Amino acid sequence: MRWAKLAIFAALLAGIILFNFLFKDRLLERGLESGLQAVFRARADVQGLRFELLKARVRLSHLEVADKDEPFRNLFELGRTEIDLDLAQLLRKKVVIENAACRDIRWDMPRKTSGALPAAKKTATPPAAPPSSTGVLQHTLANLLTFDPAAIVEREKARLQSLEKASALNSRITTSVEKAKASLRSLEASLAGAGEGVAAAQKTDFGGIKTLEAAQKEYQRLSELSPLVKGLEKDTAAFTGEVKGEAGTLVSRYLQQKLGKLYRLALMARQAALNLKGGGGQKSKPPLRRAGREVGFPTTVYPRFLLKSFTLSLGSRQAQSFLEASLRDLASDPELWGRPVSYRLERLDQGRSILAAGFLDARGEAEDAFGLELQAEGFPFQIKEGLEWARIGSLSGSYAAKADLTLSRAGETRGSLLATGREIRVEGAGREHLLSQVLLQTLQGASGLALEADYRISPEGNFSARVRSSLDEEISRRLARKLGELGREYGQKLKEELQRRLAPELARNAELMAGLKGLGSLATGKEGQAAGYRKALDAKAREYSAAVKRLSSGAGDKLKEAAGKLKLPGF
Amino acid sequence: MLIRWILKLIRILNSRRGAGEVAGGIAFGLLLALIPAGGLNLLWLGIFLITFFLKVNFASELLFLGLFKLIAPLSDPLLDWGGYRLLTLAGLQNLYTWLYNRPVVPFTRFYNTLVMGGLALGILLWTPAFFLFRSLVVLYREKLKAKLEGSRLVKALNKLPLVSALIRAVSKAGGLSPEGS
Repeated sequence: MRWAKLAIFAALLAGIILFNFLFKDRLLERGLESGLQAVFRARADVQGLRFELLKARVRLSHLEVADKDEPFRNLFELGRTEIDLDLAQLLRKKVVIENAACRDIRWDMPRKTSGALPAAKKTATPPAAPPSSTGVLQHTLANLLTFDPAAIVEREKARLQSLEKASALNSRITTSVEKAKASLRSLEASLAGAGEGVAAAQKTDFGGIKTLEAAQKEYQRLSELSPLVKGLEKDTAAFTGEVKGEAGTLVSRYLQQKLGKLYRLALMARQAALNLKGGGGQKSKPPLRRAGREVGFPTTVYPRFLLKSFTLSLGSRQAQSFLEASLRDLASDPELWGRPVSYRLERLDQGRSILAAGFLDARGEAEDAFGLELQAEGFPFQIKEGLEWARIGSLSGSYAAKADLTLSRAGETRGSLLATGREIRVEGAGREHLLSQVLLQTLQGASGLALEADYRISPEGNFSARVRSSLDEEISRRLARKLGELGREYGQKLKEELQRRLAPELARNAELMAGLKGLGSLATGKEGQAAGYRKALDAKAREYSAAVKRLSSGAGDKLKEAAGKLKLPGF
Repeated sequence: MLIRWILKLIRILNSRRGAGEVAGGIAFGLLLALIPAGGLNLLWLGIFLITFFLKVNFASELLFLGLFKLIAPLSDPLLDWGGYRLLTLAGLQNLYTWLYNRPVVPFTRFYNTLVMGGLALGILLWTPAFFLFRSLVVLYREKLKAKLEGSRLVKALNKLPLVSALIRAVSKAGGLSPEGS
């Protein structure tokens, strides 16, 4: 018996697993295709659908729906599409979208096969063919001849349900009014009766009551009056309530009829809101008897709603036009999630690109509330005004810009801008004008034109900016170079003119120089003979000196010898 | 349905077989009674479903589950204390954290002191309860059954139309004679 149960359980489990792996996705694909075909009345194709229940994830690789009016074109196509939820959080009543993406959205694309659905079964009475214009005219004329407005109104009036409802409503209102009138009359009578009694009571002179019997009689009279007044109060309240109740019912029904589901949903939402607030006159339920204590463990606490990642792209990156938008960390409670919302938008269009990315921070402790970074490239520009000083007609080209902007929570805005002009074209430039020439060369140079700016707007609205441009520096550099070139050119010209004018004098100088050189060579022979004489004289002089030195040295020795032989007197 | 289960229990109590099945049912009844079932407790539901596939007496399980449920709140202070001790054991924190962050496991409410305490005490008591109740069933069959059947009270009760109808139903369900043999 137990084995039989286990076998059934195992078979059921195996069936579920088998269904999950083999049929589930195909069935869902077919279901989705059928649904789309029913909606768009044209062929729909879904490819690569994958549904994972335990991961709460649906993916599909491609979806296309044909256009019923143009079967060889697609109404729209979707590329890789995915919705990925966090099942654990979903079970905790929190919607956490891990990823929602829909890429390569395209529309009005050609398709290879016809997207028309097989023709629907023909009914027994095919719809009448639309009459031709002549037929329509004849038909209208015939109708005009037999036109009976009263009969048409009567016929249409009989078809109107609203008249019946209005009539029923009117009768209800009439009944209610009659009922209210009757109640009012009864109330007035009661009021009159009570008024008389009260007037009599007011006239009572309590000072005139002398005996106990008289006092008891008055008390009795007043006691009889009291229930009458109480009854009157009750009747009045009932009448008011009746009128209010009737009016309320009528209004409620009217709203229900007019607004239908919307009104009922609004009522339900109101009740739900009251319940959420803990209102609705209901006291909160006491805790269950066996409550215990809950021990917490480290976990990521998610807000009620969180969109971790969302991507949407139109067209493909390879195509002429492409747009991709993405959003991250969109949370119902940013404080809890602890991250700002970040966004990104990229657009490519015929060589032009723009990229915007930034954040939006709603957290209380965040310093900056909003940030934006913008990059643009390939966008054209043209400047015509304000160029007279440079004798230029217009400037045009393309630019690349990079800008950022941050808005602080305190209200301060700061940012920067860097713009670079490329492929700049100058028109109407006065080429004879030096500055114009320099500007032209500068702007047409490879480095282009760069403009940098930093700005700041204080919370009070004071604006301050620092702007730098590479143009000024480049112009002065180029102007200096130009002036240098001109200086060199004129210097050369001056030199040539001087040379031209000095040429005859230089030629004469050359002649004189040649004569001088001849004289020089003649003088060179005489000079050699004199040098020989000098050398001979020098040699004789050296011989004479040596002889003198030798002689004087011998005479000294003889003197020393003679001095040694001399007898000196004693002291 | 309930009467049918009670009749089945009486029948199995009075038969010569299945003492273990009855004892198993009672032990599971005790385990389930100790675990609070409120607020879609998957642990409770899981154990309850498992017993469908085990060879235990379902009637005794339900009957004793109801009986033990009546007295289970008395053990709440003990379960709370024990559950808290278990849940705050330093060596098991990683395991608990991992379980706490799984998609479905938190629905077992294992992080509740009464649930954890009830589970621990229920598992701890399961084996002793099984053997105790099996012995009691055997004891009843061997000693108490005959005495009960012979007592004046039972004889008097047997004469009551409702009781006699029940006995007939039991015997029809299979097993006992109207005399209770």
